[in-house]
Amino acid sequence: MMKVNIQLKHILPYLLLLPSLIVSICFFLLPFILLFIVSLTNRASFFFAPEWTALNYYKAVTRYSPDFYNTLLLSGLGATLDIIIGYPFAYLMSRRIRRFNDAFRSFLLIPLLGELYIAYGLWWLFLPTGPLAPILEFFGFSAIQLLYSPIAAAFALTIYTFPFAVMQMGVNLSQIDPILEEAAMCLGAGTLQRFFRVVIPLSLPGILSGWLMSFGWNIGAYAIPFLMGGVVLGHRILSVQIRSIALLMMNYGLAAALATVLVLISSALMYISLKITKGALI
Amino acid sequence: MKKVKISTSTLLSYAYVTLCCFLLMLPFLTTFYRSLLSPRKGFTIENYWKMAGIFWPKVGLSAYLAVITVALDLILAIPAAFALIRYEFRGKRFLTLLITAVWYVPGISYALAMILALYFFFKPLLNIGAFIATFTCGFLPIMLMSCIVAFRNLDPAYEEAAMCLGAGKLKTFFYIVLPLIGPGISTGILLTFILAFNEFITSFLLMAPTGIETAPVKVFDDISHAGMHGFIAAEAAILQIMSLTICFVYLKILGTRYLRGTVLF
Repeated sequence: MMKVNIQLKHILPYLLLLPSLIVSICFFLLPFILLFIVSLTNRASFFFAPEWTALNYYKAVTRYSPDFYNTLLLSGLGATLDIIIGYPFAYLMSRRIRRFNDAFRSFLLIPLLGELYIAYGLWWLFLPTGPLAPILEFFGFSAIQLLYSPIAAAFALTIYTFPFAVMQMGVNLSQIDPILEEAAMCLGAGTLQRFFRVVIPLSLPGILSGWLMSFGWNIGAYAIPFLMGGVVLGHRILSVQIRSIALLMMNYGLAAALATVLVLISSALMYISLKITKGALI
Repeated sequence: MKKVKISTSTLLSYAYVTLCCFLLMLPFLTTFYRSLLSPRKGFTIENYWKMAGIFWPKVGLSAYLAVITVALDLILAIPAAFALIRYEFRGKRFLTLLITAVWYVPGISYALAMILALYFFFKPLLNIGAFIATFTCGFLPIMLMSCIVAFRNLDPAYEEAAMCLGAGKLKTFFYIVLPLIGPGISTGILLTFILAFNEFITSFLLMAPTGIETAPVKVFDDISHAGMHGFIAAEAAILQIMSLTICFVYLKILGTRYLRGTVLF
C-alpha cells in the first residue's frame, strides 16, 4: 500500500501537466516538425508526391535576401528606438516615480491590444491629410516622405514592443542594489557621473536583453510594415512574403523554409534574452 | 535652494514618463479622433452608425472565441502551474519550455505551421475549432505565467492549516487554494481574453482555409479594400474601447499588483 502511494506522488506532477503537454505537442511541436518537413519539399508537392529538395533554403538566402535585410533593418531600428526611449522610462519607474506608479505602469498594457491598431492609428497620423502633416510641412518635411520610410515603421514598431523591452530592462534594474548608487554618491560622484559610470554599466545585460527581446518581437510584425513601410520596404518583409508565397502563390515549400528561418532567428534571440535576465519567469 | 533642484528633477521625470504614456496612447487617440471626423459635418458620431451591419456578429464571434480560449486555458493551466510550483521532478525545465515556447514564436510562422498541421492531422478541426486550438495553445503560456505568479504568492501554511483541521486534498484545493489564487488567476483571464479578442495575424492566416473572419481581420480587410474611411476608424475604435474598458475595470479593482512578472515588471 505504501509503495503505491509513493509511486503516485512521483507520477502526480506529470499527470497534472499531461493535458497542457498534450495540447502543446499536438498544436505546437507537431505543426513545427511538419513545417520543417514541408520546407524540404518542392513547391506544393508535399500534398501529392513529395519531391525532396533543399533548394528552398538556398532561395531563401539568395533571392529573398532583400527581405531578410528589410526585416532585420526595421526590427533593429525599432529595437534601438525602444532602448533609447524605454531605458529612461524603466529607470525612472524603478527609482524615481513613487506616486501614480500603478497608473503609469498600466499604460504598458495598451500595446498588447495588437499591432493592427497601432499601425492604423499612426498611418492616419502620418498621412498627408492627417493632423501631423501641417506641422511637418512647417519644418520642411513632406508628410508622405516620412510615412513610407523606415523611420515611420520603426517608430510604430517601437510602440508595439515598448512593454517587452521595458519589462526586460525593469527586471534587470530592480535586481541592481540602489546602495551601489548611494555609495557612488558618498564617494563624490555627481548625478551624471553616477548614471553613466555606475548605473549604465550595471544594467548593460538588461539593455542587451531588452534589445534582443524587442528585436525578436519586431521580426514577426505584419500589419505595421504592411501599412506603414510602403510597397518597396514594407511589402518586401518576411512576414508579408510568407503569407503571399503560401496562400497566394501556393508555394508551400518556400514559405515553410522562410517561416522556419524566421522562427529560428526570433526564438534564438529571445532565448538568449531570457537567459541574460534570469529574473524573467521562464 | 536644494529643495527647488530636487523638485525640478522630479518634475522632469514625471514629464518624461507622461510623455511615454502619451506615445503609447497615441495610436488609440488618433483612431478615436478620426472616427469622430466626418468630411462634411465636422465632429459627429455618424461613423458609428455607418459601420457595416456584418461587423457586430464578427465582434460577437471574437468575444465567443476569447471566452472559450480563456475557459480551456484555465482548465489546462491551473493544474500545470500547481505541479510546476509544488513539485520537483525530472525534466521540469524542458517541459516548461515546451509549453511556453509558443509565446516566443512569431505569429506568422505559427499560423502557417498550424494550417499545414490542420490539413494533415486535424482535418475535422477545419472550422471554428482551428481558431480555438490555435488560440488555446498560443495563449496557454500567458495563462500559465499568471497562474505560476499566483501560486508563488500563496503561502503553503494555509493549506497545511486546512489539512491539520481535517480537510481532504480536494476540499483544500477548492475551498482554500482556489479562492486565494483567484485574483492572480484573474490576471491570466484578463490577458488571455484581451489577446485572443484582438488576435490579428493568426486569425488572418486561418481565414484562408476556414473562411471564418474575426473582428480584427475584418478591420484589416476594410483597410486594405477601402483605405481611410471614417467607419473603419469607428470599427477599430470600438474594438479598442471594449478592450480598454475591460482593462480599466480590472485595474480599478485589483491594480497592477498581480500583473507584475507576467507582462509588466
